Amino acid sequence: MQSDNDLLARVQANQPDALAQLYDRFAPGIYAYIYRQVGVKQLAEDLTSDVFVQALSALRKNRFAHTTLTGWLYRAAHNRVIDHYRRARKKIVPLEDWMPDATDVAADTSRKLEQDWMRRALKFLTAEQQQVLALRFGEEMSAPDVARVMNKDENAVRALQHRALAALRRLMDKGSDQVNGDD
Amino acid sequence: MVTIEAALASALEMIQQGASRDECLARHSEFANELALLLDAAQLARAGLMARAQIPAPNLARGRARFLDAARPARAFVFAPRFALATACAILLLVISGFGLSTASADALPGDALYPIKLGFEQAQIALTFNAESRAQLAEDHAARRRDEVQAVVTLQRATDVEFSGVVQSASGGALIVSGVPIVAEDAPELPIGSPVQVQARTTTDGQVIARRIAQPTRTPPPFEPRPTFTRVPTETRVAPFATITPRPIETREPPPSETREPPFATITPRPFETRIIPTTETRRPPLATPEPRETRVFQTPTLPAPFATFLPSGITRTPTRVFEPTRPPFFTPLPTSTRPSLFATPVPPPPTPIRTPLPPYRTPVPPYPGTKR
Repeated sequence: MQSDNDLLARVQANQPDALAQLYDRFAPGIYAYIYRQVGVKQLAEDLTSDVFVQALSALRKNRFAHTTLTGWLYRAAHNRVIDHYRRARKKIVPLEDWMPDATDVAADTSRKLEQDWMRRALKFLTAEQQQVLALRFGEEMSAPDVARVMNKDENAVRALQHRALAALRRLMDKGSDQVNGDD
Repeated sequence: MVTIEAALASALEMIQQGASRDECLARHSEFANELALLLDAAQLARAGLMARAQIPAPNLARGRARFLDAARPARAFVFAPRFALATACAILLLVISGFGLSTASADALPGDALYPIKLGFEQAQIALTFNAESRAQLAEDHAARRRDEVQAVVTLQRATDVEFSGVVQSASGGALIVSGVPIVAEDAPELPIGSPVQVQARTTTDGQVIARRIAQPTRTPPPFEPRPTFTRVPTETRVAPFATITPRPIETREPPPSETREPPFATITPRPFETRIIPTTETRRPPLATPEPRETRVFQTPTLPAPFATFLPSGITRTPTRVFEPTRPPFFTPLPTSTRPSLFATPVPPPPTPIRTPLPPYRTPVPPYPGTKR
């Protein structure tokens, strides 16, 4: 993450290309993270740009003393997705518009089922559990990298991934009725 | 003493390096059962959370432009929180001197808060230039800058009002190109190629520039009218876009003949859009007659009667902004067969609420994953 710190320093030093580089480096990852949760390409693109516009004000106020940039971005992305669902509830949306676009997801039916199921099951995990799964199995980062991004030590990440997989297993067995108030 | 968490962590790492599941389970035999379940879950997670390659490639260009656009005004300010007070004083001095503001607004686009300030600075610049040649040059630079701003606003897909001038380069049908800026002008007359024009337009979110007004600057520039060959006609039939239309008096608007005794509690103004013919035979009905059976009143939306259609001259598709409407909502819409409501008339029930498709809850209940039920 040394290069991330360099990039952050350059952004704060107001160098002209730094912002564009920041976007180019992190946007695909954030987009992937958001896409795994919403499943609609256009929506994921819009939410990604929202996250980065939000990041601008955080950059100006220098909120990155105690956290890494990627960690902040993933947390902001997670919050933005939740915000979106909360706002979408208030709008009356016809059922057809709510369903994720079928053409976005893989054509293979079994894969599609897994992805749909996973997308719905993710909502029953806590934010940190979702983040661990997305980073570890989605982005396929190594354990030390995940620890650095999430700003935790390795033991905490191990405990978190254990709990996340256990919760997922419970969802697999019994569905969502049994999962409540997980830690 | 290895905890389950450590065992899981090492098992996941082994699998990531290519070891098989059985090897991992053999390694940590004390947790074999639980580990097997967890590894199954991990496998599902890996499949369900798609690898990057399976996600459709995003089009991040628009988000990127938005991001950089939002970042632009901040470039004039220095990120130096340690010297916040000093920075604030410096900025204050700059603003007072005026120089800082002109720098900050230099990148403003139509629709930005600082854009009028930018225009003001440009006008001041011209006013303070005494040399006629450099003044003309400045005006030309500013005109070019207006056109660049229009292009920038179109790229950003922002909807705002823009104004610029240029030279007509091509005109075909409803599409004009003015100094490299394509605009949509539906009612434009035939403009000769090469003539200078001033355009007031509106950009849309899908990147179009729709002209509102095109003027050809002369000494005293006359405003462009959609129909320059319009001959003078009497004012009743000529409708300018914002004229109020006074309707012709309709005989049916007069109240019913005065012999009819209205019941004391019902204040009914007959709706002006309906021709109500009150048969004289029923006007003598006493007000305290047996109440009529409850009728379900149907809410009827008023429709413009035929005479109004002739007010719109052909060619103008826009409806006039001021439409004659009844001053009161029609509480009672008597059906054509009944002459007047009874003393105990019931209020009209509200129109039926539109059926709303229920939104799925935020957390759709998840069924168990097929095949895992124990």
